[in-house]
Amino acid sequence: MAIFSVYVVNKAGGLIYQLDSYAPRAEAEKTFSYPLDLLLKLHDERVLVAFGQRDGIRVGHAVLAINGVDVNGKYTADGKEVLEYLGNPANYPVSIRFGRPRLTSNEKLMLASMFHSLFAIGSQLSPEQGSSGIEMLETDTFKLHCFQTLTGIKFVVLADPRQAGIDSLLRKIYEIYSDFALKNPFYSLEMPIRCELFDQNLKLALEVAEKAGTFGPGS
Amino acid sequence: MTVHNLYLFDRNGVCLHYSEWHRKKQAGIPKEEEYKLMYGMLFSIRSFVSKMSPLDMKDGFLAFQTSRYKLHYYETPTGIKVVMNTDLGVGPIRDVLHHIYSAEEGRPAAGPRRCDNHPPRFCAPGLFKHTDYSSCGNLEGGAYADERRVWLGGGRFYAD
Repeated sequence: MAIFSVYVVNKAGGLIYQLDSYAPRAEAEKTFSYPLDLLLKLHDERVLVAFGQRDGIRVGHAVLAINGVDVNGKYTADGKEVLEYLGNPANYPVSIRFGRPRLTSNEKLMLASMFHSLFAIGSQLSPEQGSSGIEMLETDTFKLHCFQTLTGIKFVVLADPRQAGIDSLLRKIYEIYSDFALKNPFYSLEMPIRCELFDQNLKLALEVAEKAGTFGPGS
Repeated sequence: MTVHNLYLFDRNGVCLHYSEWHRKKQAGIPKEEEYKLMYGMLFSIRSFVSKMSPLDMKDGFLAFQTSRYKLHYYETPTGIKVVMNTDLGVGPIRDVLHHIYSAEEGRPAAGPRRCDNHPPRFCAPGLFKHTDYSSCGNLEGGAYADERRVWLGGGRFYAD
């Protein structure tokens, strides 16, 4: 049980705050000899597995590290190009860690504004009068909960499907936003939230909600 | 439990079937446009969800709900999409959507897998006439027992 991440989206669809609180590790590390029996491809500035799914390595997984050295995009931390490095027989045997590609901040911005429009379409396609936008979206790996305030700001929480008490958490985050972002004299409306107290209190609220959700049903 | 409407899309986004029962609000756009909007939304949700997911997914997107209705989604490996809008008090109905899909698939030459350029349009009576929905009632083992009447009355799955 866990809360994965929190997004705050302003009324124009811009992402003004994002926090990754817990990322489950689904990674696989394996040592390979030449030639590599996986097909790797460059996609969106990342090296992804295109073919040869096995041993926990799935199609779509990205190369996260080579011989323990982290990979950023298509380059390793020490500046070598991944595909070129893996194409050279002299570098083998090599140990590669694969996992789900992490979202870059650009992608998070894009996904936030995408959700903003999905929210609006969800209410337009409603078969009933007076429907709100998407409040809860279910998948088999996570549930997305969204709370829109009267002023149009959306608080979005991604959590484990079994996590309880998210509704009260969303109200709590709204309260924290009002207390520590809006009341901060240096914060300007609709702009990214960079307030230390907001950070601290949000993390605290997430911890409390995770515990409450584990031990009994929340409100 | 109320069923508002049902959409069936093929893998290219063509609406194969649409029917509605208790729809109180229309989208305010022509039906063809509405199908496109619905398919576009589902398409975006699918890509949104696959990017957002912290783990690898099996079934992917299942449902979403607003303050007034709940949209259930089921996709077959061949890309046929079954979408049903109901009220909020409905649990997971993947099996029911699968049932609707497989009932349609079983009809020779008219099944949604027919993939020429002009797939057949199903009208509501045609879709449901050949289908025995009697088993829908106990899919959730008793939980549906009471709702079954509404399925029959509201959704009119038996008689057409």
